[in-house]
Amino acid sequence: MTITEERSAVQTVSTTAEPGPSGIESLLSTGDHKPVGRLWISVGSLFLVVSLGLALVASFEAVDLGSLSFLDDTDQYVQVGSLAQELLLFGAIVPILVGLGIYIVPLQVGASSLAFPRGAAGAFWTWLIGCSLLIVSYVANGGAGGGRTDFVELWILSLGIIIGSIIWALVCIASTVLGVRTAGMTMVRVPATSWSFLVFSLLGIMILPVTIAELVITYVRFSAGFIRLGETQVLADVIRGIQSAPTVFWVAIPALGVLLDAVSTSSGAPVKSHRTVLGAIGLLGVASFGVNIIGFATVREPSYDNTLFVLDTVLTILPILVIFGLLLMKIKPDADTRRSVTPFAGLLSGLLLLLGACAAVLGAIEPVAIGLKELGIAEPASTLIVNGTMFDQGIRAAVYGAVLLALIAGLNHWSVKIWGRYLNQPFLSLATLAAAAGTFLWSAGSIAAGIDDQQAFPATELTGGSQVELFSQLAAFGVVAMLLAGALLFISIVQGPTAEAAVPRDQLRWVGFTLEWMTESPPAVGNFTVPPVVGSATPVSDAIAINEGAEE
Amino acid sequence: MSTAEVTVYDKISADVEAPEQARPSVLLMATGLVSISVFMGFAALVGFYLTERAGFRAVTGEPWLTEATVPLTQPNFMLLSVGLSAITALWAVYSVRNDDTANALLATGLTLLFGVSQIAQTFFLLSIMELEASADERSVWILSVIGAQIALMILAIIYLALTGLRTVGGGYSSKDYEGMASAALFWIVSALVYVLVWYAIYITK
Repeated sequence: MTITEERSAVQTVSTTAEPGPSGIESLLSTGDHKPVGRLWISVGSLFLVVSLGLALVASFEAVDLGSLSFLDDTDQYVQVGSLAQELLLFGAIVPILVGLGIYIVPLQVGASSLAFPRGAAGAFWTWLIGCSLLIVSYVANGGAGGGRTDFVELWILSLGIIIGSIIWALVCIASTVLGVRTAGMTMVRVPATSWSFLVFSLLGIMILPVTIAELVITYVRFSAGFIRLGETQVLADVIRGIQSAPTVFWVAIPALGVLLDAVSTSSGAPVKSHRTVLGAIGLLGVASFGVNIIGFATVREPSYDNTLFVLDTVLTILPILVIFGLLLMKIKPDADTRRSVTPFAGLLSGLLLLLGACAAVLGAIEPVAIGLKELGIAEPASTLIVNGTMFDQGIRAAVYGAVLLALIAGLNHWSVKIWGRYLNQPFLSLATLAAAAGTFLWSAGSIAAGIDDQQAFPATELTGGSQVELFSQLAAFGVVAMLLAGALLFISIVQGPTAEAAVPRDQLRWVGFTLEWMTESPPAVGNFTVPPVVGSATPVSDAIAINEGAEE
Repeated sequence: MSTAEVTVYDKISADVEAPEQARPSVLLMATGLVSISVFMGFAALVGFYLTERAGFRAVTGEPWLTEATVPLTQPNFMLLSVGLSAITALWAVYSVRNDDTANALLATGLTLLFGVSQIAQTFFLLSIMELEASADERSVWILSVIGAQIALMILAIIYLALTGLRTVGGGYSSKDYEGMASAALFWIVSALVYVLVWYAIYITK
């Protein structure tokens, strides 16, 4: 059979690539998107552990700010808390997502490589330098709450470098989906994960420059002496806009695509309503970005009394509900025990994301209730004032935790593609439980503390009602569990293959429905020896169906 | 490997027919995305500036800037410069598309000249405005926005100059003019950013 001979030749070509440079040289000079993606994921996981460790210290200090246990003064508390927030978002959550996108998106759209693989590598090294400078600036008493002018300026500069490099990496991902899809891969046939990364990238390209603009203004005002060292609130607020609901749901967008692809593959059948999936993911993108349009000139002070803002926040819940409904229909235990964590983590991730969206809606409709009361139209039984409290952190924790669970599901799902081995299932099972429990405690504790009037970070006094201390303790224990989850994920990623997990490359194929499953595990340089031609969003399952029909 | 797997591969690669996609070039697309990013950054910067200005007026009741401190002659000439530079940038693309290297170089040179003149005029205008960053916060805001716009113009000049050099070396032609089109796109976006600054700072004051 001619085809068999052809395929054998293909196999030979793909497995006998010329030996290239090794070690650090190969990492620095690589033009292949896969090592770059792995770098983003590995280093991002390391920063996940570091940032959660710092968050742990800040959380336990926040339980009783009257007497500091681990830190010298409240300035240090603000510094530790700020560094934890910045590293968690720009050093861990977003970079791991970027790494997954850089690795998986070209494979899913049938491309031989990323649009600008060396650009993505450059973005990684620049981001790493930025993160190092960020940590150095805090260690040298800079950053928000810092006491040395030079290192506060270095902190602003390092944040700019980090965000700029992330934007460049997002440009590489978006260009890949838009420009180097294989023949037949129309936009409506783009798999859910790649589509979600496209929406995520386009939004990042538009939202992150707003933070850079904020940094520019802050830098100049600080250098000219119009922001003084003691003005902690002004400095800490620099990244508040991107961390507030509904903009913060931006980081949940790729999580939706990852969850759908991973969970549907586990269930053994692709999601049928592909256009609905694309629409729902796009709608969450619109909702995340909408607030930037509505309050464009007042980004630093989101106008909670703006009806459009309220509607925009309410809009976030709809796509999450749709995706969660589709997930529920697909959830069932994976027959392959080496990947059994995926549906479990997917379900928990969807639930926590829904919790975050519901909390965001509660926070947004509050001003409506106040407005109605002021107009005399309605008289709510109680007036809930949560803006400017820990409530926001509760939403953020739910979203970040949901993304972490989606990453556990996704990395587990694609582990054979990325590392050529299965991840340690007992570790990941424990990580999933810890992440879910930790996220719930952190989120619910912060939300309850916010309702009980605890002022948001960087407030340095424990204000609020009689139960605030209890709620803060809950949140702190949640961070402990999250740290455990992060550490287990990191160990699973960096540990070498176990005897059980190491599987011959040619046995790790035909697991999913999308194009990445046509390649070796992990794929050779160039991904596809013959550019594939596709006719749907799930070309592998279509071809299997055609094949089965032919055999009958 | 089983024969079944090979057959599946074959069905995907050969039997499933689909039309070839005509898609924009990747470099041009990436430049477009970067341009969107840059424009968003400047829109935010100008947005912050307008918010600060409105707050100042509301609190003090005084004008933010007066006609005396911001003459309109230079800003309007700069607008003319960037407008013409956008046209010459498109002329450069048109020339490269038609393998007209001489005109491409002339157009690129003129565009760069307009860009440099815009920077020179801005520095002259700033000297007239006598802004001192350490003296008052209004100056800080104005200098931040104008400074960022100048930095963008310098980036656009470098991008276009490199593209021009590559054109001289025969790197671009009617078969491949993507680089020149990308540089022109970035140039036009930087010109649009100036229009934003011109209206927000110099006209509405």
